[in-house]
Amino acid sequence: MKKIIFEQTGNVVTIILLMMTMLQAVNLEQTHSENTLFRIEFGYFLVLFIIWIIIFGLLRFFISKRSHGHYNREKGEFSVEDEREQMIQFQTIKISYTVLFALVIGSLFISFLSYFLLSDTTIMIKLIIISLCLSIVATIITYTAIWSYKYIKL
Amino acid sequence: MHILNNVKALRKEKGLTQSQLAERVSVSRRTIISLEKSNYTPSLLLAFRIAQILEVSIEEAFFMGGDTDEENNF
Repeated sequence: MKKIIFEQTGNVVTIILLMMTMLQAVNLEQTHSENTLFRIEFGYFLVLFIIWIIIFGLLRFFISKRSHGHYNREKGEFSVEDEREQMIQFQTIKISYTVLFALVIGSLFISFLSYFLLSDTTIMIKLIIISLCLSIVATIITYTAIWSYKYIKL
Repeated sequence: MHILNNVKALRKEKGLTQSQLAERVSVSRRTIISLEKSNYTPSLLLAFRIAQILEVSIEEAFFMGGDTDEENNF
């Protein structure tokens, strides 16, 4: 159970930092007035994101070394120790898939509505980034919660 | 129907701990705990392995009982 909590906590941090990196890039774009064809400027969140990816990668490496085969860093949150965990994983994926599907539909609907309700394209883009990232975060939290519940119950 | 088992009694007869049995059949101790409580129904392969380690027939270790449906199926 610890491996799932570790992996998914790391994934949540990764998604949030990615979201902040993208939002900051959108903000920075607004500060420039030159009309160039294509340019993306990233802020300090990109540096934080890269640092986090390195730290998370190293943590995964050391934890997988010390876990005696319980945690596989290549499989991450899909690491299973035996057939019982495989069954827990299968049931968890089924529920998480349903949750993700509903949230993505919701995000799609928000994106569609924002086109009609918002005149500011920057706010619209930010809203889409936030809704999609939060959908992923909610799915990760659902996966962790269901996995932990099934692990304790079974 | 529900699959019940005598694994706990048979394991104690053999003088094995849950960890030792888990190690011999290549599963986690948590799986043995869950299995002994009949919360988890093992696969046929695992059931055979356990019976083999405990030196009993599979029918002695596992049997049908109860009317509740288990949800741990694929």
